[in-house]
Amino acid sequence: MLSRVFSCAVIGLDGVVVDVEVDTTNGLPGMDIVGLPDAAVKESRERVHAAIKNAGLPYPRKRLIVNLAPASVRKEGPAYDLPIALGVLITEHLLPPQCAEGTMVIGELSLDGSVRHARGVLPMAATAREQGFTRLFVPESDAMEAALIPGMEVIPVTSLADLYRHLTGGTVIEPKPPITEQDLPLDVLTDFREVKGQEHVKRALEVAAAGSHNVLMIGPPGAGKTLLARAIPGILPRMSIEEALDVTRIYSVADQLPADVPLIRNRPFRAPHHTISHAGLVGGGNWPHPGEISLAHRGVLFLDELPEFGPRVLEVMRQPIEDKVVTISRAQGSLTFPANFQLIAAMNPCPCGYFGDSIKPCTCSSATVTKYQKRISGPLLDRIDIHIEVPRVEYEKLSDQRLGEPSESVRARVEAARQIQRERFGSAQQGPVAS
Amino acid sequence: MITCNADMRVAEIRKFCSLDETSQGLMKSAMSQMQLSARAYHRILKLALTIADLAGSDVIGPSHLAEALQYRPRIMYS
Repeated sequence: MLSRVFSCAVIGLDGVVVDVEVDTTNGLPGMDIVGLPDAAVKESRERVHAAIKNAGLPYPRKRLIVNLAPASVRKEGPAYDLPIALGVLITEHLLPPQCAEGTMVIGELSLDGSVRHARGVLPMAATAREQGFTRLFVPESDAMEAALIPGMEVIPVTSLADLYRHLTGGTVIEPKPPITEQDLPLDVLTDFREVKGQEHVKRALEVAAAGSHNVLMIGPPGAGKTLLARAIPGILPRMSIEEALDVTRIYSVADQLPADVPLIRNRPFRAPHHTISHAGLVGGGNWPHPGEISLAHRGVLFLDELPEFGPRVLEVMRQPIEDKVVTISRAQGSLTFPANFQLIAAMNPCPCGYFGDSIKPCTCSSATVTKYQKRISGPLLDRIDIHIEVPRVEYEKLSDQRLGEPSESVRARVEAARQIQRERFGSAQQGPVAS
Repeated sequence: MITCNADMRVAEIRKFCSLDETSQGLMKSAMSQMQLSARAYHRILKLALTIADLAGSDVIGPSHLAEALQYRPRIMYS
């Protein structure tokens, strides 16, 4: 009997519904998978065979043919194991055909039949809702992520045997209750209060946070550039729920979502090391994955020691800074990822670090200084709105026991300015997530 | 969708970032003295609008524009 189970592929950040059709034919026992599967999908046959056997169910001694439609969409990853296994069980009349109706099935199987984590469950769940599905079978570890999409019955599956019992009227698996943002904690961030002195830099960063402008901090080593940059997420306005879902979708596809954090509520702060390749920064790969600039979407991309980044690496950022998206073209097609990030860069004025310092003399020749500063091209500098010098901190300020202004009150001013902007651009409907 | 000042395109800048006479004079001299590009001009206007927003002002005043201008890169290497 022909069976049909629905699953999902992720192209870029969007899901595409995949029909998993299973049928039996005469011939030598075995399984053929067609429909542009990659190696991980092809290996599915071994996992499905072992998982069905170890779940205590009979594996058919027939020739099975599995078709993943639409055949033009490339399928990658092991997330089709569970739908294929369900399809096999339905084909063999071990499960009723209606048990998979209106249901999207996602999950990798291990040989003992337990269900493992899958990548990109959030965009898949969103696609399921758009396409009118009402129920989701997802790995237990990803159920929180799927439960962020309201109006879906999310069934967390721990093993194939459990799912079989659930569908045949044995032990019922309780659906995961929908998750609201109040259930999720906020991270503790570096507070502005801890940074001594540098009042003019704090003011510049406040302006930058209020309008999401790019910043370049220039100063000698140890002046507090990195500490200041790390304090920026604490003064940025909270993300609205739509923004948080946007960001989480990217992390879900990039498989960077921590297991216990289904929704990213803090604005991202990405600080890649300067040895990063340009594909790592803007995204890439044979089948493109989001890079650091997309992972910093709606947050901060902090590039410390800016001149140490390769020139090619820096120049590829020029277009995304303007367009707020990055398009990656490969032979197999081109994909667009969002990249609306705020660039915060820091650098020393010269290789020794003390050019223009009030106390320590610079040991670099003027030609070396020029060469060092010229590593950052004019077009890139032109795209950075705020250039601010971060001088050495005086002893008096450093030893002062009084703390500066806390991030909380700076953020209140930033939120007020952002509210004015939202009203101006007519996108006032999205209030900040309640904290 | 535009959510903050940095996301503004030229059309929005023209609509929301109007300068008074004093500010126009300031901008004009800054353009020639600091050798600013057309992109820099628009970026300065966006930044000045943010500074005005922080100050709770509806329009960009000369002080807001002046602060935005002083954040522009000076030619470091001399």
